[in-house]
Amino acid sequence: MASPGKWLLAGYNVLAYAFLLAPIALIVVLSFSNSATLAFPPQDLSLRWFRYLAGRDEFLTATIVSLQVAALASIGAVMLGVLAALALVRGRLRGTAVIEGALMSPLILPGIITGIALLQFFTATGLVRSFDRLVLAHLIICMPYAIRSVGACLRGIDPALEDASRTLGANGWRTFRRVLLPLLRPGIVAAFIFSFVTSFDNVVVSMYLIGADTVTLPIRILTYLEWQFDPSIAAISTVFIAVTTVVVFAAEGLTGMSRRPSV
Amino acid sequence: MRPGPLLIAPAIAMIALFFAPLVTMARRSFVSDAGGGMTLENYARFFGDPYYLTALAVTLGTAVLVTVITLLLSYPLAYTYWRARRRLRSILVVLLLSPFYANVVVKVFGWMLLLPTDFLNGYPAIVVVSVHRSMPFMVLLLASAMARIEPEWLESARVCGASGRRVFRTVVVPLSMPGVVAGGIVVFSLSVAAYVVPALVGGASRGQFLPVLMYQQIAIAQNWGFGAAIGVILLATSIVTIGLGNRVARAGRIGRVMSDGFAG
Amino acid sequence: MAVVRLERLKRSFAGRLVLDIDELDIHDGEFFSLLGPSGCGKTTTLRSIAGLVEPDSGRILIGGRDVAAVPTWQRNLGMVFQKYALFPHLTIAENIAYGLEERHVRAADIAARIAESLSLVSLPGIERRYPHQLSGGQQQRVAMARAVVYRPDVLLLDEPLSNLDVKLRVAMRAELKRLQQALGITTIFVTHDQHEALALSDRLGVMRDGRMDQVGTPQEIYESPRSVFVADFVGGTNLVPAVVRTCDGAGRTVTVEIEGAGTVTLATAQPLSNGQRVRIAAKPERLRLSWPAQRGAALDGVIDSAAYLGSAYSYAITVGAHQLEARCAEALRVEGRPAAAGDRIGVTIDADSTRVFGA
Repeated sequence: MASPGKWLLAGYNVLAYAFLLAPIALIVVLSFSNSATLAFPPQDLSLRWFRYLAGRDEFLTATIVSLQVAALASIGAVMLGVLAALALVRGRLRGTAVIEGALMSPLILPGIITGIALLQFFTATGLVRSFDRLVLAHLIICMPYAIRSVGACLRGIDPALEDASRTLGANGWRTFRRVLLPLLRPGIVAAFIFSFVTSFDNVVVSMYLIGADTVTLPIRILTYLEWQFDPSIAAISTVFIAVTTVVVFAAEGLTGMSRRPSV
Repeated sequence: MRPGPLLIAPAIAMIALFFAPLVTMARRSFVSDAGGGMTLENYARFFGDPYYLTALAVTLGTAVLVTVITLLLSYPLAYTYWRARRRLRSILVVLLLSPFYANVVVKVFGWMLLLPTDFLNGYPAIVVVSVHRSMPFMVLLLASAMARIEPEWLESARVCGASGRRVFRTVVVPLSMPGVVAGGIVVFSLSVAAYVVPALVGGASRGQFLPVLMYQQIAIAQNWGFGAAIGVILLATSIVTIGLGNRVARAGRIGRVMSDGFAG
Repeated sequence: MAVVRLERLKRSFAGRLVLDIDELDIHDGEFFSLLGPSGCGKTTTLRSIAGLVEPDSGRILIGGRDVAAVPTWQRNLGMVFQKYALFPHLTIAENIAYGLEERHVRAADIAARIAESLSLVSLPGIERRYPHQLSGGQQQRVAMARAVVYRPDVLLLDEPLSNLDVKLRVAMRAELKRLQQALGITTIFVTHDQHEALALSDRLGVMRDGRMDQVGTPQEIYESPRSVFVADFVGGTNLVPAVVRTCDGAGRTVTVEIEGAGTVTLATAQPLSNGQRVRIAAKPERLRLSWPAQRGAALDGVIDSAAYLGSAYSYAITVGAHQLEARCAEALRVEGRPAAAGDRIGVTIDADSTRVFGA
């Protein structure tokens, strides 16, 4: 490519990434602002708003709820994901493509549909506790990611290893424990991380399932946005970003480029 | 080697937590909110009222617009990443992934701070913010597809005498089509189903988007039947889109787009 | 008593019969090879014996007992795979100990047995390394050690040498034979390489399309093939069409005419009739060339080309309407110079080592 073209492309890249990062950078900077308004640039910096947050119960509880739901949903999704991946990749089933498509369908259907459908269903079947509703809903939207992560890892494991284990005298369960499980560890960890982030981030499915006393962090931020517009939101957003950053970095480190569409 | 019984637990989860609720919702859409038995009243109300038909058109049209803009803006970024050498790549990866560090609410909040107020609550803001949140997905999907292009193919085109521009036009673009289709479907689906973006930055325009309408009908007006009908219509739109996408992909012989939006 | 016995073993896949073995006995302590081209069913047979594949019908007996109800892990077999299948997350010692641990051998004994088996394969001291740190040949030997350390009843080898380069393969061949004889384990070896099969086996079975074409010692298979396929697959052969002119009374020899070249009398394994179309299987190294062309015993031929192979000379010769290949240790001399294209020579087919098959 000719030189001026290269410079043009480089310039475009700079602008585009600035565009992509501007809102996030802005929030992070403002969270350290010392003023009561969201004026940019901030006159001086402090941790004032973080301290304010620490004193606000509702953010603390929302964070804890989000973490708890994410943890439980992820564990469930990963366990189910391992089972499903084993069946899809190693079990010689007919119609594997159809089954896989069915298991992956929560990914393609709009989250709000899932949320409303689950709301109606839970109400009709008498599942009342918001916390339970959230965990189950998150479990079902995380499961496809878990299946994909574990499945991808499993596909990279030579089936001859299991054959060898069997000829050496180990039955199915021992083969799983001694050979497959250790080799699947990267896939399982990745599955857990993807599930955790998906659950932690989620807005539209959770929107319909929260209760008065059980609110997740993204939704707490959402409702706050509607009537309180001060740097405390910037601060909580920064906390949110920090948690997700750590987790996404770990995912990138373990599995290469992450690709997870979510709402 | 392992039999189907392994699937029992996942299958129960899927059926109980996904398919059954969808069926319940679909059934609910055929029940009138005024009470009574099965009826097509909710759908008649939707398709008979120009307001709702407009909303459908706006939702779909905006999704198309957002998809096209996102594609055009993302392509150069994906191309740059693909051609970048190791050191530049590792920097780019960090930048590319950074939008994932914040979820949609945080990003919208950032935009609410950045945009001037009169621009803020309106249709253009929806488009801008939608494009912003869609670009990371599009870039990643495009880059994945481009990664499958072997450097040797480009080299042999150059050896045949093609200029850089020509190689790009005749080799890179066609071979990146699986990524274009996959990215297009993912971004389109995200946009059609988006609630947070129109709700927060759309101002008066927000009522023209189906997900917002759905929320209003169910959470505010308590019209569960009608809300469910809107949901079914949204669902049908998603399924049709993916089906069409796969057909286009197959027609161009560029492989199947799998249910998770990853081109294969 | 046969250690391994297959009876009426059948298996279909996607509507096709991939295994169709009437009967096969493998004797105690013998090195038995399953030889054949890709897709002939040899690996399927091996995996059926191992229990990794279930036949549709028939019986497999190991040590006299029907193993239909016995899962792989209880059949007391040792198996070496084509890509060795060493567990990448375990050390060499842990890999070899695997089978011993499943048999609840005491920890104190395990270490000693590992050391013993490693020295048996000439790889002492590598217990703490990992598979990826070893070369292909070393991995193969570890795979062997792992499979025999617990003294299985039968050792199954699935093309274990095919991933090695040529020189290493030949060296490992000798190692393998030495090991098997030292241990005396009944061994079943799958390969598509006839040289390996001939060199290593006490007996071998040539398979085609799921069926066992011929079973016998290497000499029997090579020199007395009972079908065109076996004659051609093992050692390569010329196939020359001819017509039967006369049969002797006992049906053991026939005189056949090769169109445009003459008649020759050969042995036959099958009963033939006058006028029947047949094919003569004559191995290139069993054709004798002579100059000048002798009348009577020899067929007339014209040399098309000559090639020097290093270990032999190869001549493409037209006899009648057909082209044959002949191999000689020394160059044929015509009029005092090496034979070349265009020379008329005599070709004698050695009656004892040549077979006639119905076309």
